[in-house]
Amino acid sequence: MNELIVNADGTVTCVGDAGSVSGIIAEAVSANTTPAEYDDDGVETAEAIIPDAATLMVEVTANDLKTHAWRLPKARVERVEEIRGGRNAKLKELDLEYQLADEGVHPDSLNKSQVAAKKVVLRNLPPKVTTAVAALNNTDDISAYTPDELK
Amino acid sequence: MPYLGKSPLHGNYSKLDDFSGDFDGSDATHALALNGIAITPVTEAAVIISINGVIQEPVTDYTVSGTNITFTTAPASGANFFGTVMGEQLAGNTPSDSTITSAKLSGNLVTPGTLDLNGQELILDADADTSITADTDDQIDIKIAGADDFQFTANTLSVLSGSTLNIDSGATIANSGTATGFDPAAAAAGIIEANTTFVDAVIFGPAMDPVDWSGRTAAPTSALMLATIEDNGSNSEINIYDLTDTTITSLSPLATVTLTGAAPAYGIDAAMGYIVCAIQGGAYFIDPHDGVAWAARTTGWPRFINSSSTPAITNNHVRDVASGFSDQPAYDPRTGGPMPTFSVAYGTGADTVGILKDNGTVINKAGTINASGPITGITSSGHVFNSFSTNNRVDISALPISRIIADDYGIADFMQSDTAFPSTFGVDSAFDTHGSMAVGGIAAGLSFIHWGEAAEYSNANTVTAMVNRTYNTGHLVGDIRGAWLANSNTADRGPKSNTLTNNGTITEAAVASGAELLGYSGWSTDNYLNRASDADWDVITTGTVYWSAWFKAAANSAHEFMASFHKANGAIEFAIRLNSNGTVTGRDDGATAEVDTTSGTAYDDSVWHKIDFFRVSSTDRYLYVDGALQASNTTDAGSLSDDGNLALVVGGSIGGTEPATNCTLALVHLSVRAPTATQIRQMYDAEKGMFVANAKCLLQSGSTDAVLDVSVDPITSKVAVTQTDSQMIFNGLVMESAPAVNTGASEHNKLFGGDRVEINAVNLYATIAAKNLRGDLDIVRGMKAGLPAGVDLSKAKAWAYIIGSGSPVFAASYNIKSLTDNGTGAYRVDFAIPFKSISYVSVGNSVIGSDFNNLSFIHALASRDQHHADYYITRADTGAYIDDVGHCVLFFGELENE
Repeated sequence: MNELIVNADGTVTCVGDAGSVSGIIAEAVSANTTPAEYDDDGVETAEAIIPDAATLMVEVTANDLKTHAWRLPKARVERVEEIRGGRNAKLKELDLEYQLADEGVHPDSLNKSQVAAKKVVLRNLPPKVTTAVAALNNTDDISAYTPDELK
Repeated sequence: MPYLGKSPLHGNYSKLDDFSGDFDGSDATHALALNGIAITPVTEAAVIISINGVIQEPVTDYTVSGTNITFTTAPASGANFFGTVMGEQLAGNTPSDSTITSAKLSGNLVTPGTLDLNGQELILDADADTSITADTDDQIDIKIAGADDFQFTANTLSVLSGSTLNIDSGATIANSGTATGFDPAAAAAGIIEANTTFVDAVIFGPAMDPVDWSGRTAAPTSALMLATIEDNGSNSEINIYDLTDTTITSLSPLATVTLTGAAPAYGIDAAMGYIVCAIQGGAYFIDPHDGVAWAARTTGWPRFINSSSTPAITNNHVRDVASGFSDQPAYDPRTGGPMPTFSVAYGTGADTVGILKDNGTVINKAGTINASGPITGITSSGHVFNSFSTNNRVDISALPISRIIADDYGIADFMQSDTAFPSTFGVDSAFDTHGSMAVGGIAAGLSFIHWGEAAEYSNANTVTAMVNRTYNTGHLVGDIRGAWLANSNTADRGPKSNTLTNNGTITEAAVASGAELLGYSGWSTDNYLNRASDADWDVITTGTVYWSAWFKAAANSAHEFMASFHKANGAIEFAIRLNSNGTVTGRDDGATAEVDTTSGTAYDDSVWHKIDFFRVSSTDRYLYVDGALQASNTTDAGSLSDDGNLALVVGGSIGGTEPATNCTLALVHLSVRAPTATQIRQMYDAEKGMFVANAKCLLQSGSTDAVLDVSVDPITSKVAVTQTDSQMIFNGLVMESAPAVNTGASEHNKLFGGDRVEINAVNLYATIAAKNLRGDLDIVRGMKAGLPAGVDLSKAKAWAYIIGSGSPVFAASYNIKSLTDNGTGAYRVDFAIPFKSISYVSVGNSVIGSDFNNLSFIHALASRDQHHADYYITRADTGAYIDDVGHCVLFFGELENE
């Protein structure tokens, strides 16, 4: 239980109480196998194409997972999406600030242009973050990365 | 060449057997024999005969013919005689009779025909001590080494005492007939030990627990055992016996443990192999779980405990002990089952009881000890009993053991001799409990109590009963206000002393031929029982009130009230009535409306029936007959109150009008508590046996109401009641049997499934019922197979407790093959055993340690199938997908293999 498997798409599977690494890998191989083909007389016309298990998923340790080549791109994408979620929340807050600025009652006395400038910064954040996390090669570092704009 | 003339004689000259004993002066012919074997003389001259010393002349004085001699003159009685035969006739080389000696024989002998030993012994071995004999007619004795070992008599082969019938390895014994005496489950009875020092006993073992802990110990155990405690003056002795042994008489104990210097002894109990003893110096524990012998446990838990030990009880004077289980017992690795909880009743000190919990803690309850008999007990639902001096009361813990965490925990009144309920005779030294029943004994008699299995005990749902030599109250529900017609036409057997006034003459007679319970009849406008308005029933308001009665009604033609309380003008009335058409009615006539609740069946059939009519409130009432609901009603009857103006009549209505002319009544009860449907059914079942011919329902002592001991059979719920000169087995409120005391005065009886152990003043006696092994095995087999239960949809069929946000892992899971983290806040679980369809339910929530208080779980229907489920977690505040540090998911439904 709790053995880790990294999948080719970078997702991670954790083995539960009623599973096993070998069983899960065997199922993946079976699910990705192209079945053999047969003619009307039952004669095989094309062999089954069985993928190499190592191309589908690999058991890893928690430590190896942090730098695994399959995992890093996925971790980067996930982190960008998490930051995008945080940015979206901030943008919602700025929508309210923009309204307050429009009514001249912004708590920090900002006008609409100043608030709009802040929103632009946030809108341009994902590409900046993508670039930043691309330079990180450890999932711990990727998870820890937070742009200054969201701090 | 042949002889010329007379042929010579051959053979021995021998003295004839003396036959003078046959001389009588008239019998002239006598048989000739040598050593008991008949001989045939050749001629008269070959025989010399002397009578009274005179040689007789052949032919003249006697003749011979074959094997007989005939005298010319019959010899007189007492005449002296001797005779000699000189040779016998030889045929060829035939030897004379009685002339072949062993020395003349040689080689293997073969008889040409039948060999008749004529009752003589056939000796087989060289030293002549092994033989076959038939010296008794129609009997063969086989003697080996000088002792008779086997015997054939008529059609029977007997293996005599001291001999053995062996079936060697490779041999077979087959039975195609009837085998008797081989049944290991046959009934057995006998005196285990004659001794006056027995104090108490307990039947225990895996059969009662029921966890097969005996297989975990090398000490001698059995499935069902008896432990006794003896007070030997300075020591206490505990003996453990095997009650599955086929021989009870003088049964040897499996083990004997002497507690040196521990005395006097008061009581014993046991659970899961732990025997706990109540002794002056503390509570002692004996078990077989640690080694090859039963031994006192002095370390670990449970173990010997007194006021100086750690942990400690508050007083060394332990007068009673009990064992049982918490409602949530700890696991005991020694036995593989639950760890028992024990309780001790103190004989002195400021506490009444100490609870030795299964986690090793001791919790005490302060109170005034009932010096005449401190008791304790543990219910099947995990509540603890203690006794209290006032009203000989037994208290029950308000909470079950698992929730008792501090001294002086809350209690509730349980059994007491008081005007408050639950009303009983009170309890001193006789007490036992099993399931939802407890039984107590005291000098005044025997008391029963039944209660619900609620986690938190309440006296509101209790049912009690009292029995002595004079009366049996029947069941009294909760706050009883009157218990009449219990072998008295006027006495209130309940706690309120609402004695009735007898008007006219009420007929009293046994409810059935030979029965002990009495019924009352002869009701008329002049003959009835009444009592003036009383606070016990004249201010019911809109609350609960309950009539109960047994009645036997002949065919009738008018309304007949069995019991009623009412206003004189009839404006308010609460009554039970036999109607003119034979049906029965409960009348609830309050300030708002007169509401009748009537059965659809007629009961004027001269058979005893039980009517229960109660209103829970002014808008909710029920009528039961013979334990079954007949009708209910929710019409608002209004308040039943008129302080000082609601008189009560038994056997009629207002002033005795509309009397129960054709009814015989018994056990008429009034309560202000409503029974449950289950209680009504159980009361009917427990009481109906009192109304059959020869039914016994009273204590059977010839001299006293005092009850010395009670024991509830955990298998049958029958109750053994011990009086000094009487022993009774009660089934419900009916005495089923009265086993005779084996010897002397009785002291204790213990029951288990028809087995009974008796301690009397002289000995320890046991009677073990025959068991139906094949039947019992089939029951076990059936239990193993279980009932064809439906799919249990109440339990989660897969669940996972997941921790970690980056690389989540399982803290625990069930039926989960794997979890895949598909992305931020996105997960997939794969089930090991898939669901039967996608119609399963999933729920999830955050757990302690979660980063956020409010997480939303989205269970994706579109991507789920029987084998896996996808779900997403978002923050409730922002809606953003989130990997939380901990969450759990659960799935309910029907698995593929169910």
